[in-house]
Amino acid sequence: MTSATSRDVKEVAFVNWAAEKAFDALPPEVLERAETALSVLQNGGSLPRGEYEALRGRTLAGVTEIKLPWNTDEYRVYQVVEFDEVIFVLDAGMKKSPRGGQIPQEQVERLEARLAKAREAYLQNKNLFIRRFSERRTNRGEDAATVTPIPGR
Amino acid sequence: MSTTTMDDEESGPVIGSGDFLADRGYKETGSLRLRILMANEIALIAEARGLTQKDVASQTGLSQSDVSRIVNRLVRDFSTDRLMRALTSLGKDVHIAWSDAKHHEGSIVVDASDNPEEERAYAF
Repeated sequence: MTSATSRDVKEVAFVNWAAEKAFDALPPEVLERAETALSVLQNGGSLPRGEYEALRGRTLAGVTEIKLPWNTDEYRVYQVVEFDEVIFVLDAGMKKSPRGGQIPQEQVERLEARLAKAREAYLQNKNLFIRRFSERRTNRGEDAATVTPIPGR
Repeated sequence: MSTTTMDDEESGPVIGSGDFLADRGYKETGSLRLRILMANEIALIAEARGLTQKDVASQTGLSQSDVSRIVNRLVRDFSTDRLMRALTSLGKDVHIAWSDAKHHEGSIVVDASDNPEEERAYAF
C-alpha cells in the first residue's frame, strides 16, 4: 500500500538512517507502542498528556517527545510535528537523564542538528509531501460531496 | 542502543511509501488504525476521568491485563467489536457510516475529529 491508497492524514519519515536505526532498536513491545503512538499523531489524534509533551527550550521548539515507560526503564521517541503533511522522527532510545527530567546536553545537540536537517529535508521534498498529502485526502473522501444522513425510521 | 556510523548521521531522510503502518510491517492497516484510535480513546477517557486500569476493567468487564494492553495501544489481538463494546461501556457512542469508495476496493476510514474527550483531557 502506498499514498495512492493510504488514508493517513500525515505520513511519517525518519530524518536520517541513524534515527531509523535507533527507532528499530527499541524493545519489541516499546516499538509497537511507539509505532501506534505515531499512528495516532499522524492522524490528528492526541495522546494522553502523561505520554506526550512538547520539549522546552527555544532551540528545540517544534520537537515533541513520546514517553514510553517499560518495566523500570523509560524510553523516548522524539519527532517534529510542525509540518502539515509529514512527521519526521528525529531520535529514539532509552532515556538517560543525569538529573530529574533534564535531557543530556549531547542529546540536546543531536536533536538540534536533526531538527535543522528535518526542516531542510522538508523543503527539499515539499512537492512530494504535498502531492501525497492531497492523494490521501482524496482517498479519505474529504473532497467528495457531503453525505446526507438518512433520517431514522 | 544500535551502533550508528557517520554515514547514518549524514544520510538523507528515510521517506516511506506514505502508509507508515504498512511500511512497518503491519497487515490490514485500515482495521489496525481503527483499533489503535479506539484504544487511544479509551486511554484518553481513563486519563481525563482519573480512572485506574482497575476502574476501567470493572466498568468494561475486561481483565486488568487486557486494559493494560489496550491503554498501551497493543491492540493486535483485540477485535474491533471488543473495543467498541469497551467504548460504549465507558459512555461513548460509536458511529458507523459508509460511502462509495474512490478505488475498486474500499477501506476503513476513522473520523475521530469530533472528540470532546480530548478537549476535556486538555481543559485542566
